[in-house]
Amino acid sequence: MWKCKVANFLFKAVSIKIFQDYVVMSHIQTCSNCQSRLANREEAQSLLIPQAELQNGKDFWPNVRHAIGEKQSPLKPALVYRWRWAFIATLTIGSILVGIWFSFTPTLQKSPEPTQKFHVNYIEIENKPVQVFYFKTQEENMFFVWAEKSEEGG
Amino acid sequence: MKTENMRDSELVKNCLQGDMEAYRQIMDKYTGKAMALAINILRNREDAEDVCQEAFISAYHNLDKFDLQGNFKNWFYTMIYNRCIDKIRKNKRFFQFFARVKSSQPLIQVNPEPTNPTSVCSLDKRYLQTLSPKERLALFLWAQDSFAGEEIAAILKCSPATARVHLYKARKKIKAVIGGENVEV
Repeated sequence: MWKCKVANFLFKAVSIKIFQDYVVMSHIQTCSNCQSRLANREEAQSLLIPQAELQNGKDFWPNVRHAIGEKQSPLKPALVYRWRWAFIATLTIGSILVGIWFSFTPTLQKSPEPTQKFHVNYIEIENKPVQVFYFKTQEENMFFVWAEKSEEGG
Repeated sequence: MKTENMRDSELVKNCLQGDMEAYRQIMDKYTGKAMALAINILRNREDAEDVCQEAFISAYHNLDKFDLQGNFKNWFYTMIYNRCIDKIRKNKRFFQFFARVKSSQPLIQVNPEPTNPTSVCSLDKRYLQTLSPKERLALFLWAQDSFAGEEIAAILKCSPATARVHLYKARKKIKAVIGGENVEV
């Protein structure tokens, strides 16, 4: 009897489920005195609403059938359906990465001819055309351009 | 038990191939069980019917996730229990809202109490009000379906130890109420 009191005390005092289960399994489960303080199956069943009372209740089938459709199979295309978000995410991230790649890659264009690089018809300084001189250097593709203001009245 | 599982799995396989009649058979088999579970947790027939209908629809749409080697009954019971818990939460929020409205707008007269559970059965179901939903589920599964701690734990998504503690508390509370004691567990 004192063991029962100790077990009940410990059960209430220590509200840790594993410990409470230990108390139940080690003492209460096997103690006839403690078992007499617990409802048995018949007592519990007498308080529960039995299945038999509900067996012929509402027929859910018409509503359920309407909700799930006439001939719709619950089987989904497993791989694609289950991983659809992964596919969508991968495609999105891939598109972004490709976009970034192309935006940072320098465009490779054919180098233009030296004459196309620089073409000067005339140069204006202070809204007046100036004299322009070209100087060819030793190097074949290098020129100097010299602009000089015209003399007043010249 | 294994034969029953195999039969359920066979019906589920047929459902997955689009056989609606197979799903009807599943529903016929589990309607009573599902209603009994829901009504014993919710203590309200209308709510239990809503939960069962939603669970049957949801189960159909998720049949491809069911492990054909597993136990359909346990899988479906888990679905019912989760929906019951959702329903309890919704009802709680609803009644809290009406309680606030009632306190500020005395013109509105609302009875926040759920439907009288005694209307369902001649026995006095108020005993069950002393139990938490987890305890009610544990008691129901133990008393009606002879479930052990491990099976209750699988549905409650907790450890078997916790499930056994819920069951112990439920049995003790019920016994105390029946015996007219006032025992706190």
